[in-house]
Amino acid sequence: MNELREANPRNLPPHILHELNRVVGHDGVLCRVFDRTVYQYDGTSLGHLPLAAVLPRTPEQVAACLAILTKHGLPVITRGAGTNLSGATTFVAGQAVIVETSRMNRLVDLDQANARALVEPGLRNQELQDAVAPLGRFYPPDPASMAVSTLGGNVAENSGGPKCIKYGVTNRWVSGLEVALSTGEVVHTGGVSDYTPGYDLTGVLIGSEGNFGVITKARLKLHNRPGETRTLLAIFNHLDDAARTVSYMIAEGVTPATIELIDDVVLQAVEQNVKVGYPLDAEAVLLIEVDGTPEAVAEDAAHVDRICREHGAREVRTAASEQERELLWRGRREAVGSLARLRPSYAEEDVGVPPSLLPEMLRTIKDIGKRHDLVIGNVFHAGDGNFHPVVLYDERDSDESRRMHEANFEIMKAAAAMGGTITGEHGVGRLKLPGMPLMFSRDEMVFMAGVKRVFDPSGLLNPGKVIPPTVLEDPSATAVVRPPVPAEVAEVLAEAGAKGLSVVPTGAGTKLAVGPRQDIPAGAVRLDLRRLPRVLDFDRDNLIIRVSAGVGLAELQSELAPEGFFFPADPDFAGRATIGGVLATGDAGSYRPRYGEVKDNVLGLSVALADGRRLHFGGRTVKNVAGFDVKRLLVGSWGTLGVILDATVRVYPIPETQTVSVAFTSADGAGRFIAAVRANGGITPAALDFADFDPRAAAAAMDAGRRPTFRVYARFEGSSTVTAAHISRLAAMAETAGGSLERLSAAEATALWTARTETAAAFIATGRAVWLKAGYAPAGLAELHRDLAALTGAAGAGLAVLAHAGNGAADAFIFPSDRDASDDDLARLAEELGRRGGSLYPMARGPWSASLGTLYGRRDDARLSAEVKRYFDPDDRFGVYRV
Amino acid sequence: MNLKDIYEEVAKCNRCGGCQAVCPTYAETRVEWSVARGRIALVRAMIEGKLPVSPETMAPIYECLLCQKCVVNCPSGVRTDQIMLAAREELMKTQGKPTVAKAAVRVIRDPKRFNAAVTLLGYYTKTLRPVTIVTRLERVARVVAKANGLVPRVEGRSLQSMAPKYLKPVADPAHRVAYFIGCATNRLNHAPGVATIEVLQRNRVAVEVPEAVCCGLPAASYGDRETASEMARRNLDHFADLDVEAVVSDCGSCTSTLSEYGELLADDPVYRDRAKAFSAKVRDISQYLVEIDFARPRGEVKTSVTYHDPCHLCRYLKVTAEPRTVLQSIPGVDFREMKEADACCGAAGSYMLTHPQLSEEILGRKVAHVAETKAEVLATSCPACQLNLSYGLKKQAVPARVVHTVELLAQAYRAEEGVARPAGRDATREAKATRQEVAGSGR
Repeated sequence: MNELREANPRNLPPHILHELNRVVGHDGVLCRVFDRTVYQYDGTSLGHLPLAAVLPRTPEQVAACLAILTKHGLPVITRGAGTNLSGATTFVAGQAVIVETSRMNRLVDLDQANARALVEPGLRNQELQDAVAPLGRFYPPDPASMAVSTLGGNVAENSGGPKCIKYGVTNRWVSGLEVALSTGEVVHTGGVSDYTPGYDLTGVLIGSEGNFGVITKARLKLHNRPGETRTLLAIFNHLDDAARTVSYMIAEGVTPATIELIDDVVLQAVEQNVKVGYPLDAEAVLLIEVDGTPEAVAEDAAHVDRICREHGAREVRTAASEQERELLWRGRREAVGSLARLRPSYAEEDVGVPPSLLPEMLRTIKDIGKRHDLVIGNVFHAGDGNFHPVVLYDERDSDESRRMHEANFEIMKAAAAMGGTITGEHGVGRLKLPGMPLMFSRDEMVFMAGVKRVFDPSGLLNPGKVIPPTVLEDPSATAVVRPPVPAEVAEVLAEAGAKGLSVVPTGAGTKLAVGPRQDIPAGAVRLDLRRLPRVLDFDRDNLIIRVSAGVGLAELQSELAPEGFFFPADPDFAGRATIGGVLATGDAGSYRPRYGEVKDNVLGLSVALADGRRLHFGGRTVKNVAGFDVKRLLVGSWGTLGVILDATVRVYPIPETQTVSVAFTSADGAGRFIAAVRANGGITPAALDFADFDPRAAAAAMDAGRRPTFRVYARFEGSSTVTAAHISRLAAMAETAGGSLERLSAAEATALWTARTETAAAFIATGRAVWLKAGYAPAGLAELHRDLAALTGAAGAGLAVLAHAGNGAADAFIFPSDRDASDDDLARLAEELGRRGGSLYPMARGPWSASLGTLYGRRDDARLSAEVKRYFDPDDRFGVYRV
Repeated sequence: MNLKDIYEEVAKCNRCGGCQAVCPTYAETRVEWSVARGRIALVRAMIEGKLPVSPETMAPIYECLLCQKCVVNCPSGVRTDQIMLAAREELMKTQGKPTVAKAAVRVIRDPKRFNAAVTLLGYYTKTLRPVTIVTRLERVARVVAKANGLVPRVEGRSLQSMAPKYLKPVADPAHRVAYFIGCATNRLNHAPGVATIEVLQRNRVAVEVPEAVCCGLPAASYGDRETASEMARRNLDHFADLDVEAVVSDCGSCTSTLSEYGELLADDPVYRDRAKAFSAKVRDISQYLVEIDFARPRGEVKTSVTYHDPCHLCRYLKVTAEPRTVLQSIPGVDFREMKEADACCGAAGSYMLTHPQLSEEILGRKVAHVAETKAEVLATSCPACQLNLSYGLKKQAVPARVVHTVELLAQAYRAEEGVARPAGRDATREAKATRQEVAGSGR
């Protein structure tokens, strides 16, 4: 830094310019005053002039530039299209160089079979949508800025959008990342499978707002385009009724693709600007879209219509044609623009609250507007409680600007006080820093700042964002105080710490003997979390429940069942597993296709660290991008980072279900069938499992001489009419692929799914089984099966394979004969899977040799994982994750 | 208008960045000052005294095509084109015109100089082109090379002077119009003008061809409002006392400029009212044809056609349906819409010479879209676009020929008269014949 001060601090020193030019060429570094003028702003804020903007074209160039800038101690801000609404790509203190990704805008690979896209960070969201639409796919995150915002920016901000209520935010649609670090390294996280062993580095990188590294490629998941969509406009005389209708809809478990609320201020602005036929005398409208197969759409639309009318809608219009639909959405799209035309400037906030508090929050926002004499329009994603109050002002009027900032702070304060979040999807950036102490304790913010240093030891990537710099010095800088770690846990941790013993957090202990955790050392202390005070705090209106780690999964389900709800996970050992164990192992079982991974359903999480600190990450809202997503590191960490104390998770209404079994004569047939199901718009089975044996007769599967059977089990949810229609379509696909479909009775289905969760236990209990977990490209099931069969056949071993076929996660059970399979063969298979973006590692070694412990596939993120571990648990108190 | 006056417009930009999705220059450079948001930020910094107004800082402002893509796409409705013009005016005032602009404006301003320039250019294209002097100034060389490609030949005489040849008495005229000859039609390619006169007369429209000077757009887009106003006044003088119901032009840019005379001269007490009345009468040829419910041709032109929307016509004047109506009315025409039909072709007047490289990158994208349709004919409604598109198609070896929309209509009308003609003359040959005939008569 000193060398810079000696030179002219306002210009990029020539020797640094020279070094950068050598990497990106002369047109790749822009450092004249007018160049810098156009890189000092983003979608809302105006900051200082950066020293330069660098426009690299390759990951290697990014890494080389980062190395140069780190060497010279220059802060770096990564910028995509500069559309963010939180000041995340501007700065007001010190100096910085902008690394702009606009020239890395290729769609590198479109993998139709696996519904994956590999993209460079500068590709625009809309460009991806345009490229995949002809293939019958779409990428669900749809931020309002999608026409221009880049996918790198979307990932860095964990962007949301209207459709997220049904499809989830960005972090559900990214399976892997390539990232350049400030050290000059390029690392790869995740892969093509939904399932990757190890700490979820991808998960914590998403939403890190340019603090951890520069995303140089993202592997994105695509979804089938729904067969049909229908748009409804529900008109309300009272704002309160509109808001309440939304929470009723959530509570009834209806999930339209979008529920947007538009208030009177916005309705009038829109009609002034573009005539779309919105009512001018209503206090609010709900713009609702349902999608899926024609049968599902008809049913959902009727359901939505009824709920709206029951709760005070004076009229519900259904768009009769594509033109009408387009017109209704045009109004929504033009909403902010129409407001913007009323005054020179606007600020768009994005607080979130649990949906049941929508009416209260809306009233609060209106009051705040009145108090500060500001016009505030509301047009927002009501379905997930994500507000977008748009405050109109003139940025050249200092008094009005001050009032705008005050009002926004009050809005954040109110949302935080209601258990909501200061930011649902825009990110903290620079502008929401004052709100962070409303959400996090000082300990938590200090801890998050440390997580940043794990990824960015130089601290030069986007400094001064997300974590308020003042917090790091001022102990009183937060309003949040957490309860201490429960005595049951604190005592054990303190004692183990004093004696230098290892601690193994356990629930029912079902997975103590299996999994990727290193062998438990002799003398380790078992911390039985079932002793924790039992918490089961069910928020029926918002479909969330806070539950302590020691509560059994079955206990939770039986608690919820009478109310008509359930938690979507049926992992191995489900009968005895605890919530803490399910979270720590991150196993959602068969529920993934419809409900996502366990981590997708964890909204908030409390953890005790080895030193006795209690930290809480996340909150109670579905959309929440305040702070780094540390809870993603903890879910699936197998207890090696800290002790999960309790969690706030989403629950869902118990649906009607129907399970079918489709029998094939080969794995190839099953593979073709699964591909057809995955490619077909609309019919998404809630579970899509494959087994080459009958889980209900697991013992027979261990016979090495048996003839494998190939069955795909699909579970459908929804009313019997819709399900019947979907199954008849599935039957046609089965026939094409050469399979025969059979409907299971309710009793058969229950027996099947229960047996599925107990299969591993049955195999392991014999002490003869080797259990391997494979992550693979979802279209590669048949290939994986062939490889495994060849390997075990050569060794004369028995094989049983169970796969969550829609997600590329498989369990392979191998029953060795007297001859030992060569470790080399397995290692080769792991390597091969790794090359294809998957992985292979042992859950239980059975009689096989210890060297199995290193199987994994090709990874270059091991150093980062080790650093994560070292940061959370410097004394190895919780044992080591074997990666 | 000056910089200060445009501050309110500048302040309307909320920096949402939406313009990045549509800006043709940004698509090529991927640099922030190549997009409306960046250019507006520069103008704002200039107004606020944070950035000097200099040729260097103004380069991005001159790089704007004024195609208005961002304007129609802007949620806040910011008139970026107006902001760019105001900034260019400011530079003119403080620094004088850029050399190229200065020379160009001097030529355009004076019909004698213009004639001399075209004559020189004609002499050059016939004799000197083969031995083009190799210059060490790479930039100049590139411009010269490009000009070679753009203007394969010039017309020996102006269309203006030859008008009597094409003007036929119309018995019992249903309408009376004045035809405004644009510079490109007048001196570089008569075909669109001849066709315009022909199709008007075929529709019982009596046509007058008053003398005219440049519409003033080149001057205005360099920021020389004064010259632009002067051109407007001269044209108003030329068109005074004409008893016509419309002023028709075959050039999107001229049409748009003429229809803004009312605004341009709003502060001129002498010309204000005349300008307003004049502008109200201005029509694009296709627009006018549709307005008078033109006779649908019965003659066939068997060919596949795609259409390029000139910026001025489709965004400034919002004329998009009419040229397509005309094309689709022609029996035998297989109309194929291309991708991004309304994207700028990169011509933007003299832009294709002042920014040869960027212009060609933008043109490349357009040509690729034309090629994708596999159409045999690319129709458009602007002679400048025609020059640029012909150049681009030839350079990329795309076998489509470029015509003005009404050239095809004229061909169809001729075909219906010639129903009795011997069969076997296919459309392409006939078109070639037409072109030769027109070109020949021009010399």
